[in-house]
Formats: sequence, structure tokens, C-alpha cells
Amino acid sequence: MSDTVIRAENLSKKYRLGVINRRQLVDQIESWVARELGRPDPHASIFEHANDRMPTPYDFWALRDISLEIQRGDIVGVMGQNGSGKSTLLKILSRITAPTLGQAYLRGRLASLLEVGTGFNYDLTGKENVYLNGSILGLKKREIDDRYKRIVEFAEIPDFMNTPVKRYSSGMRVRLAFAVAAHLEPDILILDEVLAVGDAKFQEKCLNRIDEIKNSGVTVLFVSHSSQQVLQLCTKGIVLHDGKLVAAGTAKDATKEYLKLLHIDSCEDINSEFPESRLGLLVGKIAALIIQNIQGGQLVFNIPVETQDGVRIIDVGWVSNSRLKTLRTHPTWSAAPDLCVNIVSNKRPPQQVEKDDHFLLRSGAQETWIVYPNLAVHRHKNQHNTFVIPIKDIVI
Amino acid sequence: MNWTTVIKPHESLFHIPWREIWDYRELVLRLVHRDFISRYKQTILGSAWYVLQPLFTSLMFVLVFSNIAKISTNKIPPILFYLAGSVCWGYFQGCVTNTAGTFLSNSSLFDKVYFPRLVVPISQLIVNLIGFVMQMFLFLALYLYFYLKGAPISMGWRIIVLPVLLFQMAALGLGVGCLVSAVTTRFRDLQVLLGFFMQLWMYASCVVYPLSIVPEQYRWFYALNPMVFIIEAFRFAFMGQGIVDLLQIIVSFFVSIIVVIAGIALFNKTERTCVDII
Repeated sequence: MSDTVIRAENLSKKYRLGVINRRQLVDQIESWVARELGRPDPHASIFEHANDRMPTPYDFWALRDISLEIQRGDIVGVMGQNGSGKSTLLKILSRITAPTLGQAYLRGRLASLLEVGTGFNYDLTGKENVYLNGSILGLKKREIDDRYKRIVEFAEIPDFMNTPVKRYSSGMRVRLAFAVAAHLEPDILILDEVLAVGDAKFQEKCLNRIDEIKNSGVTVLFVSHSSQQVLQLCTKGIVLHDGKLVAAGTAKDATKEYLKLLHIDSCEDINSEFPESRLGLLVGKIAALIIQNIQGGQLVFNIPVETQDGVRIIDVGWVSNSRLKTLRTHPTWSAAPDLCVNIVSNKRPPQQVEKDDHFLLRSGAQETWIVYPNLAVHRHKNQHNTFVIPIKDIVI
Repeated sequence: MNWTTVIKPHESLFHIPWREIWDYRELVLRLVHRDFISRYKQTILGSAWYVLQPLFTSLMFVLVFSNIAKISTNKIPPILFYLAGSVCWGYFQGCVTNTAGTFLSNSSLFDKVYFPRLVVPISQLIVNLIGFVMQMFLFLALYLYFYLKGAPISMGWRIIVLPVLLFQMAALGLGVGCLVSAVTTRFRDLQVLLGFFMQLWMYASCVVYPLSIVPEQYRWFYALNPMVFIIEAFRFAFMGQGIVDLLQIIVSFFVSIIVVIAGIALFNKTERTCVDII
């Protein structure tokens, strides 16, 4: 018999857009009085006067008919673009919001970490918060006692455990929160992009921790934008698009589907075993190509390289006589293989880009170069000027 | 197949997950600890405020209602009379106002992690209970003082009703608080109205005057208010003064039960979708 721990049957979730609700009771009464007297509703939106009726907010299905089964011990990567319904699915499974239709069945204790540091009280000390946070996530006092030493060791802040959390730096808070969550030892663990925080070294530590619990029979659902991460950590993968499940299968198959969705045709070149070293080489080659295209200069990337104690970021700089001044990559290898190269122009000085987090695609002022896994490079979001550099003769 | 959790679009409105709440009892105690400590954190007098608040209120009542308005307290020392009222009312009001903020003040928590939401109101009942117990010590100390001075007060076997009264106050506070907390997720006006409403309710609840001076023709209205029964019964239990009749008891229990059921039903309905609204 297969050992299913999560089964979802036709899960759907509907949200209402447009007129969601009227927060003020007075407005509601005014609208009601106006309708009774046959006058136009003073609070109606402009579309409503035509039919003089109650507003009909249009519905938006964030999730549609999701059916899936997940077996014990699976590490499932949940992929999809922004707004594809990943978070909604996880929220329903962790019982934060109810589905509109459909059912889901779970077996075993579920812990979800949708945000690091949930439920910290800033007036209490680190130690008190470990206990509070642990019990919010469903642990008993005895269980927290058992884990307390390991939690403190993992967070690496033993000297601050009796200091109120409000005196912590934000990095320390994140460390402590993930340490609690990482030692929950539930049957099902749900992680929603919580790894996007913290420095690279701590991220690496967190990923190692997930690797560790992989072997203890825990089922993990893990949202990631990075197909590289999914390939590395996960055994299974699912892909959501516009609220529908478009792929479910092994991590490799699902990643392929996901990349196809992003119009990246092939992912044959992804080497799931040595992503860092390969990426380092790749970036070097690509840098040279970009420089050729912008005529001259010197390119520098922040490249993660493997050292004895884990992954480190190495900063490199760039000088050029063309209009481009500085160039930066995603700060961590978690972005691979959808590598974005952020180019700083005169309008966006390096200091400004330094402050960006790693979603460098956001600003319109920058140029973004996308490096596809088939080693094609082109300038992104610039329809008139898109060009692809074929990299046929590169051998890595 | 034995699933531990089934997630459905709709759950029965009157379903209370007792077992799950029991499993989360550690969390209840943690929340109690958190709220008790952080309420008067960074104040000079700290938890002494739990006792000072009703004391100051009662002294003010003595000045205004006893000395200036000359309202009779039926030979009970006025300070004891008003303290009895304010301690009971304080507990009830604390339960209502703290429970009423459940969804709004915890929205960031509810948005990220699941636990039975009723855990929050229950922890509020306990936090307020701690305050109530501290205030009872003050009340009993004053009681002893006046008793030794020969005031016409006596307590006997009647005080065994205290747990019943306390339980009824907690249930009623939970019910009203849950109703308000559920409605405030949609209409925030209620948050503002609540303070005003609770003040009106206090004046209608015999906190500052005995039921005996209320004219007969208005008594039916007072019978509908469960807090009147609770405060009168409390005074009767400790000081032998107060009007308690059978009809009042029945109506008061009946109203309390309806309020608490309605409160929990609305709370259950709201908890499943509150994160989508707030």
C-alpha cells in the first residue's frame, strides 16, 4: 500500500475582486437607505449605476481543481510564477484559510513556516520567544526543552538568549526563528520561500538542514523560484500556472515543465550535482560575451564559489569606458539557472543597486540579461533590441 | 484510510475543537504569560495596576455616587459595595474587550500559522482571571477590615456560588467578545463603539447602585441583563444584600447561553476566512 500523507481533491479557492467589502457600517447603511428610497447609491462604484443593483464583484479563482497526492518522505518542490497560486495552496494545506470547494486530507502533524519569525514578541527575551514560537508552531514544552540546546547552537547566538528580542539585529531574529522551525520535526513541513532571507552562509546551513531531515521520513513542501534548488533538494516537483496544476512528477520532469513555461526550452545542461562550480564557470564565459557585445570594458560578478566551510560570495568589480558602469549578478546561487545580470547605468548608481534585494528584475531602469541554460544570452525586456548570443563553442 | 486532518470548505458552526484546544494548552499558557507580562511592562508600578485600577474606580464611585449623589448602599460600607461591583464588572469588561480584539490584533499571526483560534480568547479569559484573583485579595482584605469594625456584613455557605458566577461571567464575556471580534473584521466602527457601549452597559448593570432602588416597572429590563444578576448575586453572597430571584436566575442563564453559542458560531464562521478580509 502506498503511504499517502497528503491528498487534495479538486481544491479551489475563489477571491472576490473589485468591491470587496465596505469597512464602514455607516456607508453600508447609507447605501441601503439610498436603495430603499430609489436614489443612486452614493457608495456604488462607477460601473454599478447602470443596473441599480447590489454590486456584483467579479470572482477570481486563485486555485482551480487541484488534485494531488504526496507520499511520505517526498520532498516536493512547488514551482510557479508570481500569482500562480503557490501560496494559496500552502495556506489551505496549513489551514490558514478555508478552500471554496474541494477537500484535502492530511496524515500526521503539519508545521508550516510561511514567514520566518512569526509570533515573536519583542518585549520577551530570546529564550522566552523560543518557547512561545515553538508552542505557536505546535510543540509541547517538554519537546522544546529537548531541542533547546540544538536550537541555540543552530542559531549561533548563545550570548543573546536572555536579551529581549527588540535589541536583536534583524539577522539575529531570522537565525533564531529558522532555528526553531528547523527543529520542529513535524511529519509534514511546509516552507514558503523562507530561505530567501539571511546571508548566503546561513542559507546554505538551512538547506543542509533540509537535506538532513530528508532522511528522517519527513514530507516537505517547499516553494522555490529556483529550479536549481528544486533539482538539488527535491525528489518530486509540482508546477502551478494561473491557479491550475500543470505538472506533477519527479523533480526533473517538473522542472522541465516549469522552464518550458518560462520559455526556456531545454534544461539538459543543468548539472544538478555541482551547481556552484558550474555556475561560476558559466558566469565567467557569459561575462566575456556580454563585454564583447557592449564593446570593451571589464566585467565583474558576485560569484558564489565553494570553499571549505560552505559557499561564499566573491565580489568582483567592473570598469568600462562605455555608458555602463557596474554589473552585478544575483547575490546567491539560488537564482540559477535563470541568472539575471543587473546593469547599473548613470541613473542607477551602484549604491542604489547595492540596496536592492535579489529581485533585480523589478526596476524598469535597469537592463537585465538573461542567461539561458542552453547558454544563450540575451537582453531581457527590450523588445526592439533583443539579441541572442549563441554560445556554441563554449566548452565547460 | 485514517486521516488526521480533513480540510473542508465548510465546518459546522457550532463545532468546538475541544481536543485540539487541549493539545494546544501549552500555547494557552504561553499567551497568558506573554500578555500578563507585557501588559504593564515598562510601567513603574507594574502588576500593582491590576489592583489599583478597581480601587481608584471604587474610590471615585464613593465620592460621586455615595457622598454627592447620596445613593444608598443598604448599610454596606460604600467602598465595599462599589468594589464588589467594579471587580466583577472589571473582569467581564476585560474579557469582552480583550476577546474583541482577537482578529484585528493577531492578524499577522493568523495569516501565517494555524492553531485553533479559540485559543486566543481562552487565554484572555485566564489573563483576566489572574487580575480578578488579585483584586479579590484586595476585596477580602477590606472586607475583613470592615467586618472587624462591626459593619453589618456576613458571608456564609452562600459564597460557594462564586465559581458559578465567575464561570457565567467568563462565558458571557467570551460570547460578547467573540461576536464583536467577528463583526469588527468587516466593520471597524464597532471597535470605536465598543468602549462607549460597555460604559452604557455598566450603568445598566447595578455597578454603582443596588437593584433595590430601581422602580418595579423597570425590573423586567434589568432581568434581561445577565450582569445584573451576577453582580447582585455576588453582593448577596458576600454581604447578604441584594435581590436574587428564581426568574432572574433562569433568564440570566438563558441569555448567557444564547450569547455564548451565537458568539462562538460567528467566531467559527469568521476564523475560516478572516485572513482574506482583514
